[in-house]
Formats: sequence, structure tokens, C-alpha cells
Amino acid sequence: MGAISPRLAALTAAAMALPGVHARAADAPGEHPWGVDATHLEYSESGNRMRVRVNQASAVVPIGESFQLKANGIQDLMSGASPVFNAPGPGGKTQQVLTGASVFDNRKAGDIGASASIGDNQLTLRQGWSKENDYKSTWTSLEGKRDFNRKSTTLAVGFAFSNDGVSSHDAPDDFRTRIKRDFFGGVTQIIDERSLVELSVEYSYSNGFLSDPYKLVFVQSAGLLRDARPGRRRQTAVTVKYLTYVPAIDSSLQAVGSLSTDNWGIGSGALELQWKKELPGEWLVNAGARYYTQSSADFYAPLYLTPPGDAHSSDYRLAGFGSIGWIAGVTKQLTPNFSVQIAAERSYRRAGLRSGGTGIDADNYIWGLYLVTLQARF
Amino acid sequence: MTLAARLIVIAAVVALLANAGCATVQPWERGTLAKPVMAMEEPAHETAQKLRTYSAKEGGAAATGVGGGGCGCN
Repeated sequence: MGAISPRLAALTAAAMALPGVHARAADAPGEHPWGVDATHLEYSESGNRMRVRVNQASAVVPIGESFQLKANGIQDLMSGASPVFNAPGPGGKTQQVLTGASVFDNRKAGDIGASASIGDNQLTLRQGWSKENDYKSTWTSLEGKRDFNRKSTTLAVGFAFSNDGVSSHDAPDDFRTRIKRDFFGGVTQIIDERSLVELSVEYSYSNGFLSDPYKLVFVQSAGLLRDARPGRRRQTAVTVKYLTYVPAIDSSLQAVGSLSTDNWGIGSGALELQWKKELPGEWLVNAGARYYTQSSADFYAPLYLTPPGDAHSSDYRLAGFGSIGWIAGVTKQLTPNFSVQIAAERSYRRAGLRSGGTGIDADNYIWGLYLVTLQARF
Repeated sequence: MTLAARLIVIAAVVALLANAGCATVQPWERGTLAKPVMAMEEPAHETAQKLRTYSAKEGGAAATGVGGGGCGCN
């Protein structure tokens, strides 16, 4: 009997594992049980606003055939200016007031996890921490996954709990509590020999101090007030992902659509389209676009003429706006064990693209991120 | 019917439509699905960093799975 080529063996192994492809479950035991990833990312915003440099490393180690241990570490170095409030400008035009370029923070985060696979079931428990000067977070998540119909269908459920503390530079030791609970359910289905679909639903409930200690609102008759948001937030989101292979162009096309709503009055929608193609020499390229739109929170206003109610915010992220961005990436398999990936995304925010509510052109800006990842698999 | 309830109904209908007519694809028929361009997941680090950026810069949400703490991102 002739030897099976490494590529055919890899494809066969991957095919037998399908569709173990759900979110956060991509590290299921398979062809390469040992893995190390290292990433450097550069993020920046137009107008000399925030700049973030991220270093991330993670490892997956098998314990026997049924268990995996995972570890992940992240360091963020943040600097630059951030919007604080809006004020009347020349000619009655609203303008942003920024912090100045003095903001600097160093965030360190990490998590460890363990996965157990028993037959068609997989269970993953993760514990994570994050710490920066004015924010700390501790979280736990539990995810379960089960394959049905000869792995044609995968069902995933998950729960996460995070306990965060929020302070500010003015009172660095005065941490106020923010609690969040996430409930997740999803199903991945093989539709035919070249199409997959994934449907996910997520519900989040947060309570505690949900305001931003650095944001202010401008009140024409009373001056500046601190940002104040309701103490409870309920968010519901639905995401559908469809991926199909098109033989005529020897490529795959991917569409991801999301809708969300919350009790603050923000409704959002997102649509991402991507094209992916393999090229000779173990290259893989992808390109696409992402459109996003949201309505403003019920209590949002760019500025207030008279003193507002208990809940009030001029945070540009709670405004009505939309954005259009492009996505690009390239991956090169250097050897059977090593690969390098470069990815980029750039997003252009516009108030005119909002799906409802209030938004202002002064909040328009551009952000971009560029990352390089080295992967090792053994 | 609230918007949340409508979203769930839409999701259920989409799920039913997606499953309708899905014949079981045998493992030996999954060669195309096993191609790298058919991976449902982006690389884990890229996915995590992009989701964190969206979460920090947008007020909406997406159903992307659980895990990951908050940050003081501005």
C-alpha cells in the first residue's frame, strides 16, 4: 500500500474532526496537540488619540488523549488622548474635548484553562485575571460542546461570570464593583459537502457601577456633570455565520451577521463579508469588509441644555453611528510545524451611518489595527 | 413582541431553515470542508483582539462565546 502524503493525512484528520469548529473551541485535540502562539499588535486612532501596543502569548499542552491545559498571557501598553465630553464650539457647532495626550496605562491579563473530551462531548473550564491602574477583572467561564449526527451538528453552551473593579486616576484605590454574567448557546451545522452555518445566541446581564469615571457631560445651564448610567444592563445578541466553498473561483466566501438589543435603547447590526483563497506555496490570503450600525442610548445626548435626569452620558460609544471597514490578512505555512500570519483591519466611523437616535460628526474618527502572529504546532 | 423576543424568533427560524434538507455528509465527503479556507474559526489571537476592539469602541453586542474579562478601554 502506498504511503499517504502528509497533506492528505492532514485533510483526512481535519475532516474526521469536523465540525469541531465552534467559537473558542478551535483548539480541540487533533493533528497537532501541542501549540504555541505569539502575537504583536499595533492599534491606533486618527487625531493623535489612543495608541495601544499588545503582546500576547498562549500555549496548549495535552495531558493524555482526553485532556488539555491552556494558558494565555497579554500585555497592553496604552497611551494617547481620549474624548471626555462635548462642548459648544465656534458657530454653534458641537466639538469634542479630549484628555490631552497624557493618558498612559499598562494592562496585564492572563487566563488558564482545562478541557476534557469524553466521546462526543467536550468540557472547558477557564479562569482569568486582568489588572491595570484603574481597572481589575476576575472571570470564570464554563463551556460544554457535543457533536451529533456523525459530527454533522455541534451544539455549544457556555456561561461566564466576571467581577470587575473600576477606579480612576483621581481616586486610584476607590474601586467600584461591576458584575457581568454571560449565557451563550450555539449550533454549527454542515449543510452540504461545501457549506457550513453557525447560529449563536448570547444574553448578558450586568449590574453595579456601569458608568465611565473619565467621561463628563456638558450642561448649558449647570456646567459639567459626571457620566451616570443605569445600574443594570441586559443585552441580547444573535449571530449567524455562513461559510461556503465556490469551486468556480477556488475560494471560500464567508458572511457573518449580528443583531443586538439592550435595555439602554441601543440596537445594533453588523455584517462582515470575507473572501479566502489558498495560493501555491502554502499561502492563504483573505480580504473583506465590515459594516456596523447602532442607535443611540435612550439617555445619550451630545450635550444638554438643561440638567438631565439620573442617567446621562455623552460617551461617543453610546451615540448613534455607523462604520465601514476593510479587513485583510495573509498566512504563510513556513514548515509543517511553523506558520506566520499578518492581519489588518481599518474602520471609518460616521455619524451619518447610524440606525437611529442621535449622533454628531465631531465623534467621527478612524481606527486601525495591525498584527503579526507566529504559530508553532507539534 | 419586544425586539429581544423578535431576535430569538428570527434566530429559531434561521436555524430551522439551515437544518431543513441537511443530509448527513459522510466523513469521506468532507474533503472540501477540511480545506484551510473552510475553517470556521479565525486564528484565536486575531479573533480575541478584534472582539475586544469592537467591544471597547461600539455600544452593541454580538454572540461570540463566553470568556474574557472587562477592561478600562477608552
